[in-house]
Amino acid sequence: MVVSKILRKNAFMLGALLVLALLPIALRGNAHVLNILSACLIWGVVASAWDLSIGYASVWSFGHIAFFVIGGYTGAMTVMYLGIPPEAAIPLGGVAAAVIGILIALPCLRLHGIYIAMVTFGVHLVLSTFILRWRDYTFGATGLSGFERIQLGQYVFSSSVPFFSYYVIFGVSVLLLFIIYRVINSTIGLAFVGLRDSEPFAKSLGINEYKYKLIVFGISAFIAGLMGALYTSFYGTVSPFMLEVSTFLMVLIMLMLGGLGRFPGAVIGAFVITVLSEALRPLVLWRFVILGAIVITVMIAMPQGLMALPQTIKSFARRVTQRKQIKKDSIKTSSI
Amino acid sequence: MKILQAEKVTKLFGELAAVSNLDFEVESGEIFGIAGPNGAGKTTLFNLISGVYPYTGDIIFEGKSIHGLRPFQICHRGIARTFQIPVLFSSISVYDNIRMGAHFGAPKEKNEKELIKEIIDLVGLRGQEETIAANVDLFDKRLTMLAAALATKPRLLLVDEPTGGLSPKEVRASVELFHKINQELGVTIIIIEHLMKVMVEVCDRLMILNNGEKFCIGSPQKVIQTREVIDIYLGG
Ligand SMILES: Nc1ncnc2c1ncn2[C@@H]1O[C@H](COP(=O)(O)OP(=O)(O)OP(=O)(O)O)[C@@H](O)[C@H]1O
Ligand SMILES: [Mg+2]
Repeated sequence: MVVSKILRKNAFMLGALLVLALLPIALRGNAHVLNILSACLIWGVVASAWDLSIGYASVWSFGHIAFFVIGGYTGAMTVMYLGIPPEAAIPLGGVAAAVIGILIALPCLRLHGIYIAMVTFGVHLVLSTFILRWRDYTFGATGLSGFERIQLGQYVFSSSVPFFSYYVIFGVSVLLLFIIYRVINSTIGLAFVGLRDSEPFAKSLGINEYKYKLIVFGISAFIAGLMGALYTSFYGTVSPFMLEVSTFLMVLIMLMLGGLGRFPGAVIGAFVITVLSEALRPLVLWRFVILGAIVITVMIAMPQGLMALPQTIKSFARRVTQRKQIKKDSIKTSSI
Repeated sequence: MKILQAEKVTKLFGELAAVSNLDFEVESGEIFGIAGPNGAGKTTLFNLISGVYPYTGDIIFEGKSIHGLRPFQICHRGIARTFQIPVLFSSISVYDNIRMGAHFGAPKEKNEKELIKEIIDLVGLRGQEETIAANVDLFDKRLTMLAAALATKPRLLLVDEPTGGLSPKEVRASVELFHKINQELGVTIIIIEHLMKVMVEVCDRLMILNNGEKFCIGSPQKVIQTREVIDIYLGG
């Protein structure tokens, strides 16, 4: 009874999970497509973690890609310089990003909206300078590569071992998405939505806004950092190139396209944008023009994002039938 | 016994003294009314009591100063409030709006569900629980805001102009509800209200504010017949 209810309520998500779990078997051998799927999952998780702060808590953190890169460098550097096993370095990437995320949250406690965006984007900008300056350890613009990768028996976690690596990424992504889902549906998520919808009311009802700002920075930075370390390990390289504004915009577009505060919208947005961007790659620079045009069209037609598609269709259908009704009525009255 | 004491409370917005050197006391268990012309400083006073702005002077609740506490701490001390313009959590259900108050405002409450149910019945929102708050009418918005405030289990409730925009029938229902909250739950109430009819029916005592200052205080029947009070209202 309860099981069937859960199944029905989450039919879409469970169906998607099943497809994602089985797809690689159908695609066996197609390394290119498998790696694209892996990228979709990685960006889906990163965008969903960003959604916790922007979409749910309305904390406009623009430091999210910086957290991702901090995780990436932490993962690579702890393996290279401290000899930490690569599988342990991945959660460490999350921890480092969370610590920095909470430190950045402190000056943001009393700020709102655009001011938080400015402070946190400042961190994004400072980070690349810092990486370039700290050349002895980060190798500056060249970035780091050639560090030890995760190994399980004969399998290496790397984009050149796509089948095995896909399942590692799938496992980590499902776990993190489940955590995000649980946070959204917990009383922590309720507090986020309360502060988003009406901060004065939320505070008057006993919500400590500083506490929840720290929590949202901590969780979203942890997940971004962990995914950054996973990404770095998967591709075997990390460089300040990731801090280019195109990455930032791409992930933000995934989130907006999927729908702010509409889990798992950000994951859907990530799949659409990653696949489109891959499909349009032969067009070189035109790819961004076409991608931009598609995003603008979708956002105008569906400002709430793809997750609101069923509602948008329903209200559109209602409008059409109403219009038909009005037409019919006016024909009737005119014939009288 | 005094539940709330304001001592020389002053709030400046730049040059403007929105609340000026204000002293007054509220008795435990009473319904205390505050009236005065637009811009008199009524809402600002609520914002000071509930910790929204810093101010000079002192406010003492149940014998302890609450000066300098943050809004969530003041809520946990036992003071809840509503807002002049309904400010709900519009994207979630009426039930979840009330749950927000119960969960975060009354953290020690063991039976959260039972508390919410009692409050829904008290204010008369049964049947609306699953409606998204943005979609309920003005009266139900006001009731939801009130219910969320009550869910924090306050001993002092501040209500800011609860009848604005309501029909006569809804105003009557509101008056009854405030009596019920005061008597059945034993909650002390401070109410800001423009309708003198409501004030006379609801309040034990009424304070008139003008230009941020206490103008007079007393039983509502007497206060509203004072010549100067009528002048303030007519002359502005
Ligand atoms: N945040 C603020 N910044 C600057 N001035 C303010 C602020 N809040 C209120 N004021 C000013 O303080 C004065 C008192 O405002 P307040 O809202 O307390 O009046 P009120 O008695 O509640 O009036 P109304 O009956 O219209 O609700 C007004 O002149 C108002 O413009
Ligand atoms: Mg007011």
